[in-house]
Amino acid sequence: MILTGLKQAWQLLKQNKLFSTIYIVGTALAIASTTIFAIIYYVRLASVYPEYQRERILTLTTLSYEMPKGLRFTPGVSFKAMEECFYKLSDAEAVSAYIDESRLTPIFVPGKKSSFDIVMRLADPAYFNIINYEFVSGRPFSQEDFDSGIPKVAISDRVASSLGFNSVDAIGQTVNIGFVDYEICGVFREGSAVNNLSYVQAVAPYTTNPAYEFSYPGCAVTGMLSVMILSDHKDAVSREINEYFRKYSSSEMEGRKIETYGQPRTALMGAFNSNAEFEVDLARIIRQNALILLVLLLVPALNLSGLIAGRMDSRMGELGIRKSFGATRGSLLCQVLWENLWLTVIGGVLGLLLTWILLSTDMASAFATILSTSNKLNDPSVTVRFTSDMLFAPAIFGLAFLFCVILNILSAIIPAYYALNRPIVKSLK
Amino acid sequence: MSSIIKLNDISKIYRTKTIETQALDKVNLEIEAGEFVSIMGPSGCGKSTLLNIIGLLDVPTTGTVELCGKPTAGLKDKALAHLRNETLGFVFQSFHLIPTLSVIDNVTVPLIYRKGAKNIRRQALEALEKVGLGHRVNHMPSQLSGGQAQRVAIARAIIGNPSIILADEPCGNLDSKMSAEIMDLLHSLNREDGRTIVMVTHNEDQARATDRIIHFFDGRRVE
Ligand SMILES: Nc1ncnc2c1ncn2[C@@H]1O[C@H](COP(=O)(O)OP(=O)(O)O)[C@@H](O)[C@H]1O
Ligand SMILES: [Mg+2]
Repeated sequence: MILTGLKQAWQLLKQNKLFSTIYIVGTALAIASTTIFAIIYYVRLASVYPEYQRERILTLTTLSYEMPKGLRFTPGVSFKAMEECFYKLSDAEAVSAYIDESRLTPIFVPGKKSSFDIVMRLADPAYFNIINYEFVSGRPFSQEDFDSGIPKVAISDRVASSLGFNSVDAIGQTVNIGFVDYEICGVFREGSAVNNLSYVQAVAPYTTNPAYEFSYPGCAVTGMLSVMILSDHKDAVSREINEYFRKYSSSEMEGRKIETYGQPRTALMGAFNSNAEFEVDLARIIRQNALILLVLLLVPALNLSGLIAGRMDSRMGELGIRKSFGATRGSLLCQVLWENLWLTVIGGVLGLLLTWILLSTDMASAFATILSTSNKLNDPSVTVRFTSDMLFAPAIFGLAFLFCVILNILSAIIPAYYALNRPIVKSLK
Repeated sequence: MSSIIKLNDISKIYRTKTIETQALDKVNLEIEAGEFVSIMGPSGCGKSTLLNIIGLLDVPTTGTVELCGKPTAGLKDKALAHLRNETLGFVFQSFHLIPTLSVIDNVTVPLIYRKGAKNIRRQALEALEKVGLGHRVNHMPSQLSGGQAQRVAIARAIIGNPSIILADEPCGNLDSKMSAEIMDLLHSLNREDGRTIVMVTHNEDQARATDRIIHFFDGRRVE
């Protein structure tokens, strides 16, 4: 029956080329718009390169405390706090501190004139245990490099090639980043700028920047650093951190509270809101996005519904005949949905192709920016790329197919219902 | 004697916004198993309405229909579909083949809706052999002559092995030579397979060749 459905769908397609073309193109556009949406969310939520351990990553980026005059101040964590508390967390598998430059950083090879801007992060060796960059050549800077503040840097493969190096030649070369000379120690595969937690193009030891030891005078546990923690025990980790801040504030700050805004929080939360001081209402975000998806599917579904209703009229006879030979309404509804699904799936395949084409061009940045929380994406010199493991993820095929099914049901159910409830004698007229 | 078809006081009134048409008026009718009955009467006297009501394609305004000794009033969509599928086979004046299906796929339609049907294709081929169209199985309906189309329709009507065949002017769109072929076919289905046939016709000769003629006028049986 499914197969005769396919045969008949093919016949219908041949018989009514205009209808089929409009239907398939409409479906393709609807599937493309929803699949682009799905891919961007997939990239930000699923375990994609290099955030393979995303579900276990906790972050703490912003603290706050009240100053004597009633002002509030929102710094990061100090190196002192890292040493006294974070690096020693008992329930964490790995702990890393990092400093992100607030702006893009210029990079060039000394002696050559041309420079360009990159996304730079200063971190520690543990960082590479949490964010799993794949090294094309060389390796991350070592613990010794870090301890001695030796200016070594790991750069992305794209940066290497923009500098005119191949990945192997790059090792040992000197580059100037942010007006500091670094020796390249490793080249890693660049991720996608959609991932605001892990997207960087160069990583160097934060000990190369003396500012890492800075702490704010009124509150020595606050400073320049952000923290990433790899742990399966969020609650225990939270407790230990909050206990540390509480002790500090009662002994050194006359009990003035250090606010953590519910951090450390999961990378999932971070994906939706880069400002830790605003609370993330996940349920609301899910509701909103589900609504957007529904509208993206419902609008074309209504249009397609009109098309199908028109086609149904010309098929009343067939439905009447089938009923007179023993088809139930249920089986006919199935038949109509199946036939339609074949057309929808053809449209869906075109839609996927369209998605891939759109996301492989410069349009990708535009799409990603709409849904991004990171302001770095807005910088014109950051190019958003979707890598093939994002575009061709099995989950994306699954979702695209799911959207087809939903679109099919939404668009066909009403016309089919009306057609099937017509009296047989009327259908046979 | 038990009747395979029994109509009790069947009336059918079509109501539209402007007019009310009494298509059938208190019709009583019993047909025995194995009978070949023809129904005659002028256009608009309610013959098709009667056949549709017997075939459970339409419901009477008042009165009841019994098929094979069982009342059919109040049956739900599923039960009605089942009865149509198991006991009834229709042949229409305008053939009513599905234009997007090949000949053989048209013939298989009743078996698609039958639970547990096996060898559907082979049965369809046999039915097509029986109506003399074993060589046209992959044609599309638009490629057939009227007589051929009606034979396909008959193959479709008999493939499910129904005890009752309802034919509404089966030769109405055919020339006399083709009509004779179709009538031969119907007679053999009646005589050899013992199927009960109710046929609407305008042709005196065709009617006289059947077991019984029932005359209608203005929604009522007349003798
Ligand atoms: N669906 C309908 N709506 C309104 N009137 C109808 C409908 N079907 C049939 N009629 C009327 O009922 C009467 C009987 O019709 P029908 O049974 O088709 O007659 P016959 O088959 O004997 O020519 C006719 O007057 C016809 O106009
Ligand atoms: Mg008629």
